[in-house]
Amino acid sequence: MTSKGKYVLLGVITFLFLFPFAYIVLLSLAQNWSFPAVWPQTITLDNWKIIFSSQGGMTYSLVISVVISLSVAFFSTLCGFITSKFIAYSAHRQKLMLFSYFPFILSPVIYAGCLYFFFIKFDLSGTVVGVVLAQLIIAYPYAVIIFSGFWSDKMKNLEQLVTTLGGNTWQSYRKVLLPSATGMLLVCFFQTYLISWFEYGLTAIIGVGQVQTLTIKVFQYIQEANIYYAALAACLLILPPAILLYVNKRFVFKTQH
Amino acid sequence: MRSYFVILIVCLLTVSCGSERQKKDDLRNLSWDEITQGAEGQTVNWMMWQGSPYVNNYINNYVIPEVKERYNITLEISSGQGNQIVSTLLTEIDAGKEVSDIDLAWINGETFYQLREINALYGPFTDQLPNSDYVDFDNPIIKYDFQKPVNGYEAPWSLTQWSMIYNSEKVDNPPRNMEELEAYVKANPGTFTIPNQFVGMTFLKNLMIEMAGPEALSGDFDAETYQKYSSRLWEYLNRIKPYFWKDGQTFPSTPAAMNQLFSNGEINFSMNFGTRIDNAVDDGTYPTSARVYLLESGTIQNANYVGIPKKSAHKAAAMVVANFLLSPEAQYKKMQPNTMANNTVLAVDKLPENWQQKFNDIPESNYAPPREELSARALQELGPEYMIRLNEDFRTKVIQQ
Amino acid sequence: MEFFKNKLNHSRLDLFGITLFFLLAVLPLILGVGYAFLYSTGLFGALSDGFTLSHWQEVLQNFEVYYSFGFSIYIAAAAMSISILLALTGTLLFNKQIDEGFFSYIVYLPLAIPGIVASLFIIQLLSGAGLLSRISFQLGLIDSVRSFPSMVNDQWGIGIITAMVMLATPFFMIYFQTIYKSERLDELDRLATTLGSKRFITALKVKVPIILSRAFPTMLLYYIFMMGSYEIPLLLGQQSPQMVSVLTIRKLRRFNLLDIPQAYVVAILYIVIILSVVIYLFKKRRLSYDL
Repeated sequence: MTSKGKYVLLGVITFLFLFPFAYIVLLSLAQNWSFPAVWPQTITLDNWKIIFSSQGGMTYSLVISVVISLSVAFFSTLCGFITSKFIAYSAHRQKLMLFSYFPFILSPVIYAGCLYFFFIKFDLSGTVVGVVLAQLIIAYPYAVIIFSGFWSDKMKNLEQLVTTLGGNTWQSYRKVLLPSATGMLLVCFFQTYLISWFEYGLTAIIGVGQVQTLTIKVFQYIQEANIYYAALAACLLILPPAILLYVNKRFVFKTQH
Repeated sequence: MRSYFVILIVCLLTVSCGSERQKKDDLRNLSWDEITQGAEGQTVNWMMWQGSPYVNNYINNYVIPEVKERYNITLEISSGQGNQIVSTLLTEIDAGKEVSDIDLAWINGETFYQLREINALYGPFTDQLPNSDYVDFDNPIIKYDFQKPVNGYEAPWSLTQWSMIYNSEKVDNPPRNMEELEAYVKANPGTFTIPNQFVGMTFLKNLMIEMAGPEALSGDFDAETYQKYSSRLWEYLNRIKPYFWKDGQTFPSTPAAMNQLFSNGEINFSMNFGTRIDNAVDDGTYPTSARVYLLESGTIQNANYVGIPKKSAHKAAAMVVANFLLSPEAQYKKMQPNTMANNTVLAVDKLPENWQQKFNDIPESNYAPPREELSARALQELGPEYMIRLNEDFRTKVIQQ
Repeated sequence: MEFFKNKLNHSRLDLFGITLFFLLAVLPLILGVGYAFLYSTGLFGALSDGFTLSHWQEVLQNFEVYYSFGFSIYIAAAAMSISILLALTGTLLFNKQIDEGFFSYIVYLPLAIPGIVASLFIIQLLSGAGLLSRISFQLGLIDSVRSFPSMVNDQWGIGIITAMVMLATPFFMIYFQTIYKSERLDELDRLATTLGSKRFITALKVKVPIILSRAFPTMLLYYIFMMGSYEIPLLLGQQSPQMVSVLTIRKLRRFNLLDIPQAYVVAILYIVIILSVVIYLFKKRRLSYDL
């Protein structure tokens, strides 16, 4: 493959990767785009204005999605970090990790369907806390898996070093463990945030249609065949992660392990 | 130690979320004023089908602000179709839940039937609503919901008649019975389809009535009669299925999807609960050449209602909302072009003079036959078991073939 | 004494960790599977009559569930193969560009797209009145909406596969590239070239097997993840056959309430299959975090 050919191909691939974003943004700006037009008949910012109005509940969805995802990311990262240490050093590591892998690959929506009863029983169905908890059940094991690679013998030795030198747990965490893990913590926070941010099926079941996250809104608009608003909600859904991915990538790049 | 702390926090959170729901008991003995007072400041969670932008518009831009202003009730909508409402309430019963998540539900037909079977509805309550004075509860369309007596367990909300819509530019003579439909799809393959949900299933019910005549299918469900006519129906459908849109390999799963196909010319027909399509034509959902028509043997007309789950903690507020929905103002507004634009459940002759005038002055639709013609061809709904069976059998006997 | 206290401190945090693990990972699993099992055998449920195997019989005798599993296997396999092929080609050709530079940021972009938005996009692109159809119409390739080939809600699941490929390919490109780097495949490349092998042969016989063998656990897990996909087949699939998750949820919301236990039967079947695969993975190879 010639060098020039390679660059052309790279250009094509870049276009393909960028195209969905451009298209969705364009769709969100349209109000009238019927067959066979290849370009919208009307382009306007009117659709975006409804974000600021109370109609449609878009602002509510945006806010509640951010709150839920931040909570899920925070708790799963924190708890995952603490738990993975125990598991990594434990004798039953294999068996315990099995439990971690399972929710991660099981279809979240089927899992939610089986657990729905318990959420109703504990008055958690249809509540934000319930949705956060349900998403934690998926994200927390994932965090455990992410951190399992962190607890190596080297870490163990460092910890023991701290103890021998007279430090306590808090100090070892603060001065040694957390700093080394910063990159990983951020990656985990970000990835668990995305898991929650993108979740639809589980949120629809546990939230009973009352917790209207952005993904639920996109689906609703698609059902209503209002594709312009669906594209608008989709923009709100994909643009923040796209920006965050840029930030995250810099971090991953910096902390190569 | 810390694990207990965590558990404590979790408990606190759950309790704090649950404390908002106070329990209110028997409302039968209260006067309407007392009920309105008790409803003040409450939040009502209304689970309803949100598949129609016009309904959503009416609710979001009229009903919600009005009940807030008039009664200080916060109305929240959650999305859920009939079977979802039933399965939610059923799981609540399974879990022994004391307080339901749902305070009001938009229901009719088989949903109402199933909710009564599992004893999930509160009632009777409609006689306590002041606006029920304007309703003729002896009208069989309102008194019976899919042939089952309502007995005050759900409050009527709207009246709709199922109709077909065709594109007058592409079709000269729309098919009005099964024979004509068969001839049409064979001559024009790929231009017709059925949505795989309640609007489409009602079309199937219309066809069964065409085959059997309305008397044969009315009253209680009879498995033999169903078997006899449904097998003819499946035979007919499987025969003409290859001439449907996408060769009958797939069917649109929502009316909105079907309307999209209709509006971009992929198919020439759509179906709807409702006979006024003015709003849809005005906002471009339908082409201006769209016209409403009925089948020769008539089409089903039904009422839909709002019900209150037995375990709702905000029954008073729910009743106030139900009453408001039944008010002449709300019903009149609902008939306006850019809202639901379907018919009122109120008996116009029971209304005060000025309202009678207003209702009678509502103009005819530009795109449909006149109202008398429509009501002359209105058929009564069949028992709920038909809907349940048709849903299943359509899947096994037609889709999976 | 100090040493002892520190030991206890360690255990407290670990206790916290393990309690959390139990509460959030182990317990829900047991509860969920237990509930599904009890409901499917009629031992639980407001409308049940007691222990019965009738629901299991109903499901296993109806072809629907076999079609559904078969269809899910097919879709995930097709999407996986295409994605892996594309990702391998991309990584091998462009490993430097994926590593750093402008393109290395671009390649991350599709990861910001969730299943639902991918579905929306594919509908807009590939449906009868979608963008491709309109372009074809303008170019005179088709003369009406109906002539455009069916690619969404179709029997081969073209729309579903496209959406999945769209999401999986960038992911694997990045993943393969990290393997490429960690296995120092470009050094290997240089070595092989010095020994006289052609770049292309090296790629095929050396690099690809290494990448694939390192990536195997992740690929298998991603495959299972694809099989359990919900949003994409919900919007882009047809009524029959449906993928497993869509089928389960549909049965859960049955019109006929007495059939709801069937949904749990399907759920249990699916869970058992997944469990078997994961256990197999654990027995055969050590699963370390490579994700």
